[in-house]
Amino acid sequence: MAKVTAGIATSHVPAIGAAIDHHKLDEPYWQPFAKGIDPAREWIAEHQPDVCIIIFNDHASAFSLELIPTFAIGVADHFHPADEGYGPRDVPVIEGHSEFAWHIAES
Amino acid sequence: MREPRDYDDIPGTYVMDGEHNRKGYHLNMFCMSLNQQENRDQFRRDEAAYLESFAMTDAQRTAVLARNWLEMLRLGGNIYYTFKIAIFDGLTMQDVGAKMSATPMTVDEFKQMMLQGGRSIEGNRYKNEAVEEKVDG
Repeated sequence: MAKVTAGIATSHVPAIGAAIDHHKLDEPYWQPFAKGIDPAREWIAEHQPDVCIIIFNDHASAFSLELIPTFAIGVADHFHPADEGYGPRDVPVIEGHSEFAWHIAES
Repeated sequence: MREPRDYDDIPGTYVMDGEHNRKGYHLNMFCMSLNQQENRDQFRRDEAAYLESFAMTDAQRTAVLARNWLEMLRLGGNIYYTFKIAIFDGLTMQDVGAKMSATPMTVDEFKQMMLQGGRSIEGNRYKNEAVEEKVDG
């Protein structure tokens, strides 16, 4: 049995990704948010969990009005950044763990 | 016609319910198409011609061409979809947030409002709130 060490959450603001990409977190408008996530950044840098289960919502990225599952579990080996309308973000491909993901899906 | 809903009475809020989805489906799916570079290129070349390939209403096409952000929401648009047009135009969420305000607001005013916790609930609970408060007070 794995040991669950922490749950980390953030306010939901779709513009966060763009603000980070365009180096806007130093601007006064973004400072309250940036300061708010600093403790989480520090915690994760210090504790380095073996596995992260990332839960997020999909705003017209992989899913659209064509098909919207209420809940879905990603089980791929890799997750590429979506093109949400301005080209895929220049962020690393997320490394999945297909075997573990399937274990979760079937548990 | 659907039954009236209690949330119909919230001023300036367009709840993404079944009716709203039904009205906005083609508008939102046009927006969704902008997730693909070749579609963005086509839209860039000739916006009106590209919109013709979607079964949108004339009012929706006009709102898109005029970048009438608030009208797009009134016509069934959803911000997570219409925002793709904003990105296409190089606008930020704060830019369109200000433009979607029914009362004129600059981007700086919008940002300031958000930093202070967002739009005040006072006067924004019900469409007739201002009248009610006078009666109650």
